[in-house]
Amino acid sequence: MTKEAEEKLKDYLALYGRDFSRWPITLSAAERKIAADIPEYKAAQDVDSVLEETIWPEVSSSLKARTLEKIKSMPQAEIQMPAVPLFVTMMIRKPAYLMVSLAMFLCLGVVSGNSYKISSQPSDTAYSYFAMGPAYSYSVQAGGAYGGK
Amino acid sequence: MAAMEEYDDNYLIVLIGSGDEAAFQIFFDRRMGDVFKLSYSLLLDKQMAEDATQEVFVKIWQKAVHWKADAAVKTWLLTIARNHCLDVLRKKRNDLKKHHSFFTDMISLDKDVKANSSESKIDQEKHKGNIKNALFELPERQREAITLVYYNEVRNLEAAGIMGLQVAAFDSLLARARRNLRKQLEGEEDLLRGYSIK
Repeated sequence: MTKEAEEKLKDYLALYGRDFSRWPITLSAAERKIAADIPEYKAAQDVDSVLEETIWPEVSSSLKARTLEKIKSMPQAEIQMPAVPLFVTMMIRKPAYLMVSLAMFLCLGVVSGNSYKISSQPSDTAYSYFAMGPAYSYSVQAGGAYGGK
Repeated sequence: MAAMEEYDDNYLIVLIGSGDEAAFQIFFDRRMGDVFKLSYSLLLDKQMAEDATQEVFVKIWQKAVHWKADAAVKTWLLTIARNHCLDVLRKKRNDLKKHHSFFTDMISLDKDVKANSSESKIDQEKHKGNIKNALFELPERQREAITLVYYNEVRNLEAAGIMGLQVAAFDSLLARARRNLRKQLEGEEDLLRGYSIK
């Protein structure tokens, strides 16, 4: 076992103690076995024993009753809903508004689609992402993507 | 339908958020020990720790509706508990500053008691007891780190988040705490050896 590996095990012992369930899961069973033979294991064991034997004060039996009594007089916080824009509220309340809005969106879509078709040239579509062939031939003709002569 | 005792913390918090007192009682029974231990390790006073525990659960009752599922309930609960205890400590320290002279008297009295105590046979028993409570002799942040990892059974990563530290900084704090415990233990052993020679 290398010096570095032993130092690593010592660090783990100093940090996690003898309880291997707290140790990183990447550690192999063999490494854990070696760790148990290091002299520092005994020191870690002693510290763990102290922690296990720590005496905590008993909690008063009335604490739960007191707390339950207190929450009865305490109002709970209410969920704060995000503010809804007025036109959304109108659309939900009156279906006619919803229908008109949908119709307007539809018209807007048709108009913008047509205007794009009228203003665009055939060459615009030739080099789009959806037309791989012409785009490739263009880059070859122009000297490649890196600006060759 | 499964009994409510089998519900996980997340579901109980959602029920508490909707005003379910039965869910609150189950959650209280399940997590009261965690909150009390963390509070006691910070405040070192049973009455204050109980009051803090009560306040923390009242806050849970009020704020359950704001809990977001992206945070573990236990981490959220312990963060609320820690913040509350630090507020209590801050108030306590401010009060102590106001009564500075009284405080310094208390410190000198405490030092006298400790100096005298190491000489009597009865105190040998006291020191034996102290080994068991060596945790409470540690500095505040070290006590907190040990309590979170060993008694609240929170992973180092989450405990670092609760204390607002980087994991590496938390690991070094924890290692320092364990080293100090070891030193205390060695000190106690030396002291007991000294008694047995007498």
